[in-house]
Amino acid sequence: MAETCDFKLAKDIAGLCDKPQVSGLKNTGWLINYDEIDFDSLTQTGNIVSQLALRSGRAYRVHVPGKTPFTGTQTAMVAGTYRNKFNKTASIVVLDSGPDVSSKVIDQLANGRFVFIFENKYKGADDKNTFEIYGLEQGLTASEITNDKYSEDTDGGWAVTLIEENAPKSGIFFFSETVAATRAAIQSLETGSVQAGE
Amino acid sequence: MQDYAEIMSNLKEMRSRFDSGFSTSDRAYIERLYSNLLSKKVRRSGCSDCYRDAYLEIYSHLKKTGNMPKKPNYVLKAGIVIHPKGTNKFYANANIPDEVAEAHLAEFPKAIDDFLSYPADYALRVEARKNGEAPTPQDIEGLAAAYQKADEDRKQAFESVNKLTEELNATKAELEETKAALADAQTKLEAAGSEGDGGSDDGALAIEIETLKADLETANAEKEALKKELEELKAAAPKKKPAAKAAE
Repeated sequence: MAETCDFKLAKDIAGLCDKPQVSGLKNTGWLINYDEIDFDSLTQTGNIVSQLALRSGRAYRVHVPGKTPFTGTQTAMVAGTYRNKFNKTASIVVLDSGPDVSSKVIDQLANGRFVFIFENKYKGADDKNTFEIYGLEQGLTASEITNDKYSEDTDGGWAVTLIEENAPKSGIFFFSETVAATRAAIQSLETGSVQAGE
Repeated sequence: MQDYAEIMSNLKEMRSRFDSGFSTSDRAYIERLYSNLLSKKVRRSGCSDCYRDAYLEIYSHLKKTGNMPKKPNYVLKAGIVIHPKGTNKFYANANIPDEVAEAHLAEFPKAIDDFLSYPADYALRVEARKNGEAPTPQDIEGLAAAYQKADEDRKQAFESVNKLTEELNATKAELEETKAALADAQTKLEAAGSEGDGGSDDGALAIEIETLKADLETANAEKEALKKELEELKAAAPKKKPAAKAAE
């Protein structure tokens, strides 16, 4: 039987007095090739992903230094005919250049599809806001990549903007039991599908 | 993959470049070892001594264990973390021990999909674990390893028996030689003993001694006779000597 979605508020709207909202992200995020995610074993309840595994490959660490890393990363609603959706934008700077960066990073970002996990400074009441995921539904693709040789922001490195368009959910978060367990899972994603003794 | 001795040798050779900085090939080697041995990736950002830290970690790990890590039976998919209830331990990738994996599978049989690799007989192992038995290796790799070990043990035992047999034969030969030498020595000793009983040299010597003794006695008797004769001659000598002296 077909389900009818009725969009109704389910929670009071107010900030937390003892844990006020904090803007910004931490300096490290992780990029994953969309096609390497094992969607069959993905465990998601509502907007929380508790298990995210890879079929192959690994997650790649993205470290951006500075006070405001990943500036420009945001979620914005886009009006739809029957249902409104969200565009999620991830802004990354690559403070390096050269043939290796071009072939292994930039050319791939320009043409591939990705998922980006990042860490919010604001953990939320129950820590579930700590890790957020962009691109899990539609995948992130590059919308702009520039290498301004005289850029004062990137010092001649690369500025990359990835966007997930028309994602049904406004936010998807990664939380597995505890923050520590979630960090262990991210560490495992970063290690990738490596067998000891290979 | 290289063996333990080869890796340790390479790491020792790389030690000379520890302070000055590792080469590109050194770094690639460290990355590979770090990944294969410790299932970790070298962090290239946020630390100034990432490769030195990884080098030290690999070296101390190998030195501590003294051998290459055994290939794990169970490997989790990247991103899967097993957290046994009531513990503060997280298991991920290839660092999950058999007992933890099998206990987890006993509780969640469908979680086998979370494993990237597992033994072909995992169901039997899980069942054995449920019954509190230590599972025996039934898979091909396990059997091959067990066979190889048994074969090596057999070869070693065979070599030991051969060596002992050779040693025994050598000892027997030595014993025979010693026996022969002893018999020879005994024969010679007996021959020497029989010669010593009626020795003609000793007899001749004794006769000679007796002869000499007799000669000595005769000489002594002659000496006494001469002494007596000398005294008689002294007594019979003329008493004119004082007058002659005065005349001089």
